[in-house]
Amino acid sequence: MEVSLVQFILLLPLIGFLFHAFLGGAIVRALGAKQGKWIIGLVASGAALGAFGVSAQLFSQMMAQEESNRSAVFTLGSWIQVGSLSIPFEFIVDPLSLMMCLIITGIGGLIHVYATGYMAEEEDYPRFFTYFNLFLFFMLTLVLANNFPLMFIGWEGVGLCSYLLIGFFYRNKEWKVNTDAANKAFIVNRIGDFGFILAMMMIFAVFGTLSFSEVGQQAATLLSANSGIAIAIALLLFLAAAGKSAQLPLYFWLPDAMAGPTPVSALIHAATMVTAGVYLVARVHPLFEVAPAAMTVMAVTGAFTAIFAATIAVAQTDIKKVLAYSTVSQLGYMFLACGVGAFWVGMFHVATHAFFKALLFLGAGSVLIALHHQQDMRFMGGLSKPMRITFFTMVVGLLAIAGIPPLSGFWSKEAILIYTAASPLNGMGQVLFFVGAATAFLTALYMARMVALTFLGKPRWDQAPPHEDDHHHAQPIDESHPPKERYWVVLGTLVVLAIGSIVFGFVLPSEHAFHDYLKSTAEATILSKEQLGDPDSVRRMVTFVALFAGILGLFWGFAQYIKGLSKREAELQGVWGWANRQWGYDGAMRWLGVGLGGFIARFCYLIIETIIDGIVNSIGSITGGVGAALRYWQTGYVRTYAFTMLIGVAVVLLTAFLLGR
Amino acid sequence: MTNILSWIIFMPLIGAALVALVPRNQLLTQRAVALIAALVTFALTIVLYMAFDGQTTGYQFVENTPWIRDFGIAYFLGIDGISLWMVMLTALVSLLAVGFSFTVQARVKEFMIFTLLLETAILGVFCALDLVLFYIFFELTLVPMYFLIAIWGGHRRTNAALKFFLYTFLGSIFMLLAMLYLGFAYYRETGAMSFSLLELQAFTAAGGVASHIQHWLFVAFALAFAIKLPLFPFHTWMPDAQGEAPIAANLIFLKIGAYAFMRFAIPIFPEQAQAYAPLAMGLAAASIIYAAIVAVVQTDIKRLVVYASISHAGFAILGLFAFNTIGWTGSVMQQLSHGISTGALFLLLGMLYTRRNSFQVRDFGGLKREMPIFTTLFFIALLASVGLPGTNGFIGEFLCLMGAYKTNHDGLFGTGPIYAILSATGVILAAVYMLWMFQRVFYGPPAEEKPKLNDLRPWEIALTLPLIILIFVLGLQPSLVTQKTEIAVDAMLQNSARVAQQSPATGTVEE
Repeated sequence: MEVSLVQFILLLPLIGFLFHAFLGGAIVRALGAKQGKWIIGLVASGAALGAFGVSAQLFSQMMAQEESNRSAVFTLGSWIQVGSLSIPFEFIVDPLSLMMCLIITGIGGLIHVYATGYMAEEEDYPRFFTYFNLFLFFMLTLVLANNFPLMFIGWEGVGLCSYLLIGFFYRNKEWKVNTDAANKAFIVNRIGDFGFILAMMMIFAVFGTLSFSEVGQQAATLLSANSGIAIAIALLLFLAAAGKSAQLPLYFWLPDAMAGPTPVSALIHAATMVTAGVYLVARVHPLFEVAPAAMTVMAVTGAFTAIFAATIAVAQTDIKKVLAYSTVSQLGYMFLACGVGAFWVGMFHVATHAFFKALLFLGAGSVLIALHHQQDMRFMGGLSKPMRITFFTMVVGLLAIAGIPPLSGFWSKEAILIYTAASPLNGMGQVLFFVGAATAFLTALYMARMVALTFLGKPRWDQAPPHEDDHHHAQPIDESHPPKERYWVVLGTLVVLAIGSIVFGFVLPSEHAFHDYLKSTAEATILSKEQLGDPDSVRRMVTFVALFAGILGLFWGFAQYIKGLSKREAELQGVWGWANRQWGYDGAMRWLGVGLGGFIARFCYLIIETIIDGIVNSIGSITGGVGAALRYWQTGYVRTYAFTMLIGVAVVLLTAFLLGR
Repeated sequence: MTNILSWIIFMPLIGAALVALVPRNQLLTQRAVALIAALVTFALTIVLYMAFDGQTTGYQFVENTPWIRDFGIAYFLGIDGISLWMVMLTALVSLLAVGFSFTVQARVKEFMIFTLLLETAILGVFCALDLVLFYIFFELTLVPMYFLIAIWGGHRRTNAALKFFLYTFLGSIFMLLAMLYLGFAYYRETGAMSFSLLELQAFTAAGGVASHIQHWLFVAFALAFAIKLPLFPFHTWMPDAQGEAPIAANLIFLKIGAYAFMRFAIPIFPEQAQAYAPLAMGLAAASIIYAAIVAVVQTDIKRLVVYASISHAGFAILGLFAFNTIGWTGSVMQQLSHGISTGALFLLLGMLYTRRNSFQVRDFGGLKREMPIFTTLFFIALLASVGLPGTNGFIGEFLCLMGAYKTNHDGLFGTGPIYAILSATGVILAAVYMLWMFQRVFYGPPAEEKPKLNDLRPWEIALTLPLIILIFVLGLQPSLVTQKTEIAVDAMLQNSARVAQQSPATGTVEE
């Protein structure tokens, strides 16, 4: 295969970025808003879809190869070269990285097209696509990199784009909320990045290299003797993953990140960037396999995050927040799969989730367009009639995420639960399976609740309190001006993704096809059969439980919420309030970070700094005699100062001369 | 070509003399002469770069003539792959500083003279290989710096200037005494005095001074440099001095402390330096964390940047006391990138100050809307400062941390990894103080009841652009620098290792 094609996958979004950054504003000014935006949208989407085309080409070439021949490295040049540390710009092309490329550029391309409609009325249109194309470039760098530091360029680069896009609306009334959310995302991610840096230091100290291929091969030999370092490396990498992929204890930036425009939530905070942590784990899975304790931590954290976020999602009133917690929860599933050793299953869920979660977010975006960016589900309802296409595609997404066969979500979720149930995992496999099954029930419940509150029942959108949105619509929504679907690119994208969610399930009926595809790159190689357990022994039981949980959740959700929310729930009383506020976790973190952290900073500045400076000043006043002499000499003439210095130097020289004897 | 270092060092001084000759009322001529002097100096450093031989070890362009024979003091200059970059960076930022200082209106003549004098002093520090010569340049930096702060500084300039002068002068007196002791000890052994770096290095390596005395001598050197750097807890002069100093002084007054450690304190006393490495790394980690924490609550943008630069200086020391190629290269990179990215921040802040006469966070808001180009450039410099990979800031920090972490695995100190881990938290804190400041200054509505601000003019963009370009060039192709530094670094490390091997107590040095 022509590995050098990988350059073009990266180059196209980069060119798009540079184009918008340097010419975007000028084009809009020169050609007027309408035509200028059309060109910018075309270039941005073209860059993304072009990269998809190249990825697909490379993919077909790769699939034509023998299975053992499907991995290749392309080196572009040298980056850091110091002593024994050698870090080239090297890119890896294999089933794992190309799968991610296809998702990023494919779904990413669709979301670009969608955004040309969604953002059509936005003044800052060129700036949006500047960041959006740059994001694609960094995300592709992240997945194509063949060493840790190069991946780290992409890793922090996507964080940067996420920061810029969450704070995209920095000038409207909500600017404080939006930019706070942006800061929070970047800073919390940096805690994860701290783990990434420490892991790099340790890996380099042990392996003498930071290249993925070499680290993966030598993990078993170099780390099995030193389990302490092995566990430390794996846990630090998991910390990095937990930051980027919004897992406990670092998940709490993601719900706030919904302040960004909806296409951003769909692309960055659902389909691609937040799955980077799962990708990292799958990419260096041998490092995790040699540290079973870290694997257990990952599985438990994933399972607990999954159910924790699901309980929060049930009590949300903001449509995007439901989807945000749902994403956290689904990411938890992926780490659960990785934790029990089924890395490729984790990646399978990355792929299916990218389809249906992007679909759900974009559907929500279509609703927001119709309702003039009113996000509160308490003031929706009955939209199925005026918004037929959105409604039907959302139902497809709902069935997929609820795990109803034959849609794609069913296969991946079933696989996760099967491998969890089969895994011995120090006797915890069974427990985690029940947690996963309960999460499956809650998932179906809150998604059905969301669809019911949005599309079914009596319309409540005419009762919405007036609010100012970013597009300044003059026209209020009322009886005579009902909500309506707009922009054919928006609806077209929804249809394509819905078809994708359905077809993907037929292309990959059961997890086996995906397993064969990723066998060489994301299958456990160090863990033994006993450590993984026998999936076939539990398959039937799990399928039954998972289906039951999903269907029960759906029925319950529709039955309960078709009439809207109860008063208690709508006003977030009691337990609903607690769940809505993340069971107090976010508040505790805010207290810890902003409160305690701020106190420490003020303490350092106002107390410690004063004490140190006081000591310095008092040493200064001990030499008061010198000070008095200085005051005498302070005549303001340069020559006096020079003379003083000369005398001083002479005295010192003399003293030293006498001492030296 | 043989005297090129002298030409480079004294070209600004010649410029200063010429500025002095220009009549007082011809401001433009004064400015132009200063600019031409800085420009010629920079052009000469480019000649230097092209003539530099990257393959050989040892010092190049050496000039060594006896100066004060009776005391063995020589006019001894020379550069290696490390000082080459320091000289080039100094010449570049000085050029930008003089260019920016066209905005200075008060006592233009004196301002330009002191600015050029400061450049000469700093260039001398990076080229001197004789201890006394080095000391003279080292102290000479104080004089123009003092006047630049005291005359053109901010509101609290008088106190800041005096504190700066006395504090750093006090520090270097210890160094002077230690230096003289060395010179006389050399005299007792050999019958002649010498302050040549190379001869004193050989002298201490051969055991010319008793080990316990070398300890005290190292401490005296280290104290002077730690104050200059500055390292926690010797840093309290810095926020006052740098916070009040005019922008030109901020730009030129580079981290000579770290360089002095690298060139003098460690090579002359390698054994002692390694014995004190855990303490030095500890103070480095403390600097990184403490200064970053204090930076968070600053209400003055410039003082925030000053605290950030104290934090960055910590990384340079951390890498230095790792005593391996990666750490030392990282330290050089960190010193350079600090000059570039913090320099860019200072320069841009200066441009902001000319528009609103304030550095206070509360006086600003919504700049992104009013000044998009300024915002973009500032944001790039900010990203370099927080060490985003792909920018120069990442390379320095990353290499320093990698080097520091590796020390333990050779059984050398046992503390390297702990301090590397602690220091890495600086990465999180940097994001906190920078982004919080950025949010308050650049986002949201413009500050109320303030006149509208104009975006950068073309000449201002042109002035900033070299640094912005360097941020990416060094971030993506650091080998441009490290290739040349590595030979110098390895030579110095081998020298230290040889000494250390003679005394079995300190163990061996990696690489």
